[in-house]
Parts: sequence; C-alpha cells; structure tokens
Amino acid sequence: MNDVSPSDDELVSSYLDSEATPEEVARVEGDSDLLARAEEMRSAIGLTATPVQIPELDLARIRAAAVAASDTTPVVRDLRAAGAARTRRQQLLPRLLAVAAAFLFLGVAVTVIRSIDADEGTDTASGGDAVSDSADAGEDGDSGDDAGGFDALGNSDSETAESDDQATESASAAAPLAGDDASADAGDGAAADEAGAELDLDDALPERAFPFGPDDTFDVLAAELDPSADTEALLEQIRADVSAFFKAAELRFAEPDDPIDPPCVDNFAGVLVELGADAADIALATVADQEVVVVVARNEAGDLFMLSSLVGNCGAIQIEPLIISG
Amino acid sequence: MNCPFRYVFARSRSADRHTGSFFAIASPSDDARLITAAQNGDQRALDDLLRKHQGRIYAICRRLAGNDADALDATQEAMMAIVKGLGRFDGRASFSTWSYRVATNACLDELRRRGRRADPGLPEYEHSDDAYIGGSAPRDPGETVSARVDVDAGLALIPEDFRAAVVLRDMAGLDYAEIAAVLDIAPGTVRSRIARGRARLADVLAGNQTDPDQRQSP
Repeated sequence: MNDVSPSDDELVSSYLDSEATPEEVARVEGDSDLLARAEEMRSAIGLTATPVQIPELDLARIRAAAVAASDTTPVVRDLRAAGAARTRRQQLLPRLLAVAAAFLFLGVAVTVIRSIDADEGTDTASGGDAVSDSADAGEDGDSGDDAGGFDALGNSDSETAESDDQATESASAAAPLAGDDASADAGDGAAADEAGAELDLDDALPERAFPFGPDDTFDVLAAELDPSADTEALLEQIRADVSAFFKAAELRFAEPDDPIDPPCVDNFAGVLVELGADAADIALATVADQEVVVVVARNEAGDLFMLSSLVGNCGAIQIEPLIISG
Repeated sequence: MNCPFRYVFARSRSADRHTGSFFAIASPSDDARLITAAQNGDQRALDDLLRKHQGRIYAICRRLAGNDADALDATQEAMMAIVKGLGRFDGRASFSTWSYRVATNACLDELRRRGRRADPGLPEYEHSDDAYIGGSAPRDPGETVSARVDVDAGLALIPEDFRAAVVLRDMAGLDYAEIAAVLDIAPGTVRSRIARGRARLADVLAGNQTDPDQRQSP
C-alpha cells in the first residue's frame, strides 16, 4: 500500500473517473506514489465491476408477483401463491402429459381416418368439437383464419386433401412436435407465412425439442391411451382435464379472438431463455373453446420442459415451466 | 394440436442476453412508451419494463447485500416499490435513474431492517445459463467463486453509504451527477464517498485492513 492521505485518495479517485481538473491530473501523473495508488484503486474498481450472475428464474417469479400486485385480477398474488400454483401444476403434470399425448394420438387417428375417408370420397366427421371444428375449417379452406393459420389438431387442408401419401403425411402433420422437418414445413400456407413473419423465424435452427420422435410416437401414445376408449368420451375427458388444469393453474382465460402475438412469444422466449433452452416447438390447440399455446423446449443439458398458456393473455402472465424430464 | 411454427433460439441471440447487453437494450424511448402504457394499466408493458431493468436492479442489490438471498429479497422489495410508485413517476429523471434510486433505497432499507452489514456468502447461482450483469461470464467457475467471495468480503467492510456510491459508479457505471440524484446527495459528497470506498477496498485487496480515514492528512 502507498502512504497516501484520504485527500490524495479522493484526488486519485477523481483522476480515475476523469473528473479531475487539469491541475489535478498533472499532479497525479507527476507523482509516482499517486500513480501507484491509482493502480491499486483500479484493482478495486475491477473487483467491484466483477459481473453479477443473474438468477433469472427467481427474477421472473419476482417480476410476475410485482406485476400481479399492480392488478386486482388474481393471477399470481405473491411468491407463495406462485409457488403453490407451480406445485399444483407439477402435481398435474402426469395428467397433462397424458392429455398432450391424447391430443397427438387423436390427431393422428382422426387424420388417418379422414385421409382414408377422403380416398373413399366420403367425409366422416369423427370425435368432438375440437376435431370436428378442425375438419370443418379444413373443408372451408380457411383454417388459418380461426387459429392463427392452424386448426385445433394441426391438420392443414392441403395435407389432408392433397397428399400423395396421405396417411404418412397426415400422421406427420398431426404429430407435429414429433415429426421431422417435413412436419415443420406443414405450415407453408398463407396464414403460416403470416405467423412466421411476425415471429421472425429466419434464424430458426433445424432442431426439435419434443420427446416423441417420429419412430416412437405411436408406441408412446399406444401405451398412454386405452385403445378401446370411446373417442367422443375421450375428448370430453380431455376438455375437462385441460380446463381443470388451467383453472388450477390460476391462469386467466383469454378474450375471444385474441391472436398470438409478439409479446406472447416474447413472454415464452423470456422463460425459455431463463431455462437455458436452445430449441423449442410451439403448437396451438383448441381446448374447451380456448386457444392454447403449448411449448415444449429442451435445454443444452437435454432437460425437457413443457410450457403452456392461453393465447389471449400469454404475453402478460407468468408462465411456469413443467419439467418433463431432466 | 399442430405445429404452426417453430421458434428456436439461435445461440447468438441467447448469447446476447447472457453477456451484459442488458445495459444496452433499455433505451429511454422504449422506456417512455412502456411507462406510459404501464401507468395506464397495461400489465404487459409493466412486465416488459420490469424485465428490461430487473437484471440491473438485482445486480445493484447483489453487490450491496453481499449474498444472493438478501439480494433477491431486496430486489422483490424494489420491484414492488417500482410498481407502487410508477403512477407517480413523472419522467423528470430517467427511469433508469429512478429505478436505481428505488432499488438502492430498497436494498439499504432491507439491510437496515435486518440490522446487519452486507453478509458475503457462498454463491448459490452457478448455472452456466444464467445471465451476467456488468460483463461476460467468467470462463472458469472457480474464478467466479473466488472473485465473488473476495468482492463480497471486501465490499462488506465498506460503510454502506460508501458502498452504494462505489457500486453505482464502478458496477452500474453512473456518473457523479446521476449518483448524486440516486442517493440524493451533493456531487461533492459523491466524489468523497467513492474515493473513500475505493480506498478501503484497495487496502483490503492489498491486505491492509486499516481504515484509511484513520491516516493523517499531509
């Protein structure tokens, strides 16, 4: 340590901050002791400037609680409520996964059925509203208008009606998060282009995050579902389960016709960045007449997460990840 | 369910979020738009506003508190105070300055409530995907631990008024006038506090625990 006085320290400190007068600068630079002291202080400055590691998940919860505190709507009232909600959601994870699997399975099944029916020149509407709605939209050729370019189960018209190998391609489209790049290309319609433009997908990487691969999808789903289940009853059960899930999660329901928009994607993006996700798939679903965004993400460690939110308010609410594996 | 699009996070984008660019992304014009919307009840805007500034708020609290747990508590207090006080924010100061002031006061209040000085503890967050404020992530995790313990221990020895001035200057990069506004003190006092805080920290680093204020002026 140099033997400098407090007043010299103040001089040196000001010198380091470029707050010293020309006379003070000259004095410091002409004094070896003061210059040595300046080096010591530089080390102190460098230490204070050591980067602070940001616990983003904790900050996300704090932020959500603060935002919730600004509103009378009971989204998440405080951190304890957020924790409780997360616990409830975690307890519901197996059920939600089963629901997700059911959606995929039904998408595959119905699409295959419709493909076969199309070959036969018939149009057999199967299942409940979620499925029949998508079928109707497909027939009208305007599925994109109702759900951001996609129907409830992801069966675009062109795939169902125009594919050369309908069963195979429809299966790929109906299990969109599980397929190869061909399923990603399923959204080549005008509405898909519109959504893509809003979401700036130019830098998307050719990676998939969903746990079900193209080869094991059907095995996984077959293990999850009772093949003898009545489709209509199963759909009703799905609706009930998903509705209960969202109700238990204390999420607000969306306003009708709310589109998925950049703030929504940004909200998901923030959570995914906090999770360290390097790949994610986003899907839309119609659940109990509500548009739902479901995201499955994978981080660099290979952990898989599922995030979901109603479309209309997903830009504003706290999105809690559900751990699928990891 | 379908696959309308995929949103995959390019590593370059992620890296930007992880290397201290938080200080660059909060432009005043963006803040003004978000503040106006948030003051009119737009929760999405409020969330965006807080998201923009949360890293800097936490970083200040982290350096002032000396450990992760107290820093998170203080950050929560600060964010709540910002939300409650946003309606009264009139834009005369920048939002950054105002939020720094709220955060600093919240953190110092939290420390005073607990009746103790900054408590340097072992780091709790060593996840590689966490972002960093104030620079890029150190390459060597061991280096992170030792550096943090050193800086926390050193800052804990500085009186909190000095510590706040040093942190706002050397970590947050505020100039003397901004620090004066944040701490509500005269610029001359800012200069003095920064100098005394740095001197104390420099002496700690040099292995000398003597209070520089005890030394004689020439």
